[in-house]
Amino acid sequence: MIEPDCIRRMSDALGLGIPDSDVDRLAAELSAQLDHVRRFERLDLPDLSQEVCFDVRWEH
Amino acid sequence: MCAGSTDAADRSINELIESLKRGELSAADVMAATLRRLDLTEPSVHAYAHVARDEAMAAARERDELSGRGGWAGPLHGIPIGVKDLFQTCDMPTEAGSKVLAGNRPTRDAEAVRRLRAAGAIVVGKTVTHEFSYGLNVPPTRNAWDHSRYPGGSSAGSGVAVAAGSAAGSVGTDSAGSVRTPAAVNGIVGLKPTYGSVSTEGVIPSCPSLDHVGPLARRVRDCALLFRVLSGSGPSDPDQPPPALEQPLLGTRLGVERRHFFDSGVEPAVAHAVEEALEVLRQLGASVVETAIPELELAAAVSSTIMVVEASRWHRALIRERRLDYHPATRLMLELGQLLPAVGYLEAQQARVIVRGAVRRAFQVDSLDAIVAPSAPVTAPPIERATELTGLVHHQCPANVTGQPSISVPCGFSEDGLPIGLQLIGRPFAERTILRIAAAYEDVTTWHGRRPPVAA
Repeated sequence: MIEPDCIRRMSDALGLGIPDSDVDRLAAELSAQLDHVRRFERLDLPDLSQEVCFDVRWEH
Repeated sequence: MCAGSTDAADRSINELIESLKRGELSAADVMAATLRRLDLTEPSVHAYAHVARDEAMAAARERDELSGRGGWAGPLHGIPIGVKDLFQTCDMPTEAGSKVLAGNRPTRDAEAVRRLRAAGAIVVGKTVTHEFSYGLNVPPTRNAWDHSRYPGGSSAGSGVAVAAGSAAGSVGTDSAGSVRTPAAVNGIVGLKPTYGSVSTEGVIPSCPSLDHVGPLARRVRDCALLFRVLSGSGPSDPDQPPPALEQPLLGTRLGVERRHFFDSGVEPAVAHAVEEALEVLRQLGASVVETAIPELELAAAVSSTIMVVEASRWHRALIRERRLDYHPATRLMLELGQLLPAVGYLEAQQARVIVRGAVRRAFQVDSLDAIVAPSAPVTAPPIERATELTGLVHHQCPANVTGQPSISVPCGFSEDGLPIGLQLIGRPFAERTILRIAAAYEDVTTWHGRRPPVAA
């Protein structure tokens, strides 16, 4: 779980200007989103290359 | 408004074109009927953010003057179209459903709008979108069938206007189902084409690697015509025949992926309607085969991770300057995207490759022409629950993650009279195939003939 104070410090460090009113909910949302990202870490991910990852078009 | 209505506001685009060509209706007649319907329905459904009434009527008269001289503006001559308020328009505001862009007046049309106008279509107005199309706020738009219900989103106004008859067709954008959801819950047809097959130039981006532009209409062949104009594929000469959609489905192979699309909180009425539709497709000659793509369970996580990061990139400067003008839920998502590690975004793109590869293998191994699924697991929920609808993304984001074409076509109604949509996901650039399957289904069913009540 991300602590709200982490959000405040990141916002200050990166100059994001996140208002205090958003901090608690943002901590919860970021924790949930990071759970998604951790699922990706457990996969056998393909090589990272621009061609593979960003060309989402299929061949004609 | 009911089945068999002779009101021009209820006719399909292709029917209107035939009537216009034969001189049975003028473009001014069609526009007047559309504006009458708009006046009748807008107080209760709020599909439009801006209506260009006088300009639309003037454009219709210009079309009539042209046809009076023996001319013809194009394959959409005189057809009233609604345009999602995410597309730039040179003669109307483009506010993306947000205070942040209040009063924004672009100087050019988006490429899709330019193509529609070049084909003779007339833009009635800008249709309501969720703020910047993220689906997180509750806009004023209401479902055409039940005004206490969710209208779909984020192309909410584009779906409701077509269902209500205040546009003959419309365009929307679809990054996680935003064309197909409004189509499904309002009982009309919505096509999300293959990624890249319709230009997004001049459309305010939602998340560029998931964004698609697509048409909505009351009939499948209308969507086919709009897609042809939007994509620039095929002949644009109005005298050319429409796409050959009448072929039988013999030899067509349809895949059913039960784990992802049927075993995940699908309402009994929706499951029943889709199973009935599968039986109709079998009777039309299609083979229905079970297929398994367990990697689809990654699609929602891939979609949400990519979306928050790509969204926040476009809004990075704006959110610093106009933070309090965003809806709080939109603002939170954009802030979230700024905090997510870049590595997480890259891993989501890598996981996307896994999903895409798995779907590709299923199409190859099972020789599929399309995957068939419910468009949405539920009928339109009460508007109060509109922000809880993760199930809709679950059913629709796979085609955005893979970039495949997908269409929603009406396939039934719940006991309380709410529309149900059937989703077909095709091979890349095989829009014609899913349009053909959808048209064959539409030809032998009557769901498309039902129209919602006109006024509250």
